[in-house]
Amino acid sequence: MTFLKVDILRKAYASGRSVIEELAFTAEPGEFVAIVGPSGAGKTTLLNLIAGLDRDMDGSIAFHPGQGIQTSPRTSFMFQEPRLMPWLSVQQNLELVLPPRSRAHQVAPLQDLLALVGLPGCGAMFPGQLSGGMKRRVALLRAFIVEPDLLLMDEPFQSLDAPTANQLRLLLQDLWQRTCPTVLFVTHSLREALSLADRILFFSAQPCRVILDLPVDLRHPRSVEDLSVQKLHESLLDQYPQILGGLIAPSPEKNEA
Amino acid sequence: MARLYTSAMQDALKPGAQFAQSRWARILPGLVFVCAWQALAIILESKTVPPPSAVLLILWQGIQTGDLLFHLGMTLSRVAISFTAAMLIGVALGILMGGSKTWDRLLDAFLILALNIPALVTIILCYIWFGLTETAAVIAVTVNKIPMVAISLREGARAVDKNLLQVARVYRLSRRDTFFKVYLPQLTPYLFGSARNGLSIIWKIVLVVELLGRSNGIGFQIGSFFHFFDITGILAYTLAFTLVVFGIEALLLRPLETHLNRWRT
Repeated sequence: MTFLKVDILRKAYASGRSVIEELAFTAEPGEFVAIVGPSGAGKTTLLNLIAGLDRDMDGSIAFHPGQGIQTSPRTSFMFQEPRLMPWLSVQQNLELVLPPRSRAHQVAPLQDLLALVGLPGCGAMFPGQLSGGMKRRVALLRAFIVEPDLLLMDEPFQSLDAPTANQLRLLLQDLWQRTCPTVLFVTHSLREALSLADRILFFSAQPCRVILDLPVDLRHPRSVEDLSVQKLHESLLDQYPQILGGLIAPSPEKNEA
Repeated sequence: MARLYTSAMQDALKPGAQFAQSRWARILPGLVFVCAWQALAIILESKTVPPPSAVLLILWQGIQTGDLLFHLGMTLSRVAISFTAAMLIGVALGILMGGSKTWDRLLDAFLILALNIPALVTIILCYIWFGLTETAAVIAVTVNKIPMVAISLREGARAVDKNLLQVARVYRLSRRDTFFKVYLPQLTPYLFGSARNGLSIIWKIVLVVELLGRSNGIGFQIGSFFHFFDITGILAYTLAFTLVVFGIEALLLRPLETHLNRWRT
């Protein structure tokens, strides 16, 4: 039972340069998939295509393929920046994404949810009054509050200090285990990918393709400091020294799943 | 030397900064101006420079007889109607042109043209085409103001943050929420800008409209004072409207702006 099937033949910029060529992969329901690749590979472009923010491409992106379900899934997107509305309070920012009907009887749980993500009593504050880490917490809660089937994350913890990023990664795993959306998590940090994902897709440089599809068999929740994560990180870089540059040298062992 | 100089400068600035913070900084220049005016009027003893006390007296008499209030009310209602219409149409046009390159190209020439037609020409044309009616007066004023609002709002619409609109699309916000909670708040500074200079421009044009083709309103009254060379009356009516504008600024625009900007810390 596949949840998402991506099969992009070609995606080009207006200038005619190819960003993505022959990129194909699938994701299972509730699976946490990390996407690792060199910067500028076209990872953000891919997420925008999957989110439907950009529809200009050759190929197909199908949800529940071959299962006769026509409705498009509920999608959340956590961007590189928190992207909260600065003129709305934290509570109003969260209510904004809820469907109007569920707003009324959501008010009490909203307070509890804020406490759950470590922001008790912050509902009346404006984003400008919050630290970078707190803004990400709000953005993370906003992504989960709509109970998404699919959660797209584009290097969401970049530009945070290491302890804050660690806390947020643990919070993400907690929320993900409670609600089980399919997650596509773009990052350029192999450690971050190893500490979060069930599976890692390694992308080549532009135009991007999948060069390695690696399952990660470790128990959740994990942290980047866990010994098992560190070991896996080392052995992986021993085996594929140039994997982060988008190269799988010397001879490709297995391409795509 | 340089260090000595800057510290001396800062010491000299300190009392000045304190004064700028106090209420007197707003009131004092006005008082000085009124006193100078009164002194000048007494020295000149000319009919064309009435003292402020005489102007205030006429203003008070006008309020008591109800004359001034009637004409002020007529002018204010014209200002209110044309202001609302010009803002609504101008904002819509500005958003349309700022958001779509096609519309921008189609309407740009008209906008430049409309912006540069003298107010007097629009007023006379409206009176000729629609007759000396209330509708013609209001249309003339509105048409004069629309392009100014549109120009300012077009800048605002061009500067709208596309990233936040992406958030609205991903989370499938309704058109209403997207407009009122994501789009419009970004235009607030532009809205206040055009509301402020809109108010000032519109009441000036309304006066001309009244002078040329209406039989009431402050413009009409100033026209008749002009025939009798009654400068005290002209100044009294001008003062009355200026006070109203101050009231609108202090009681409506500034508190509203403070409320809408409370998130800026």
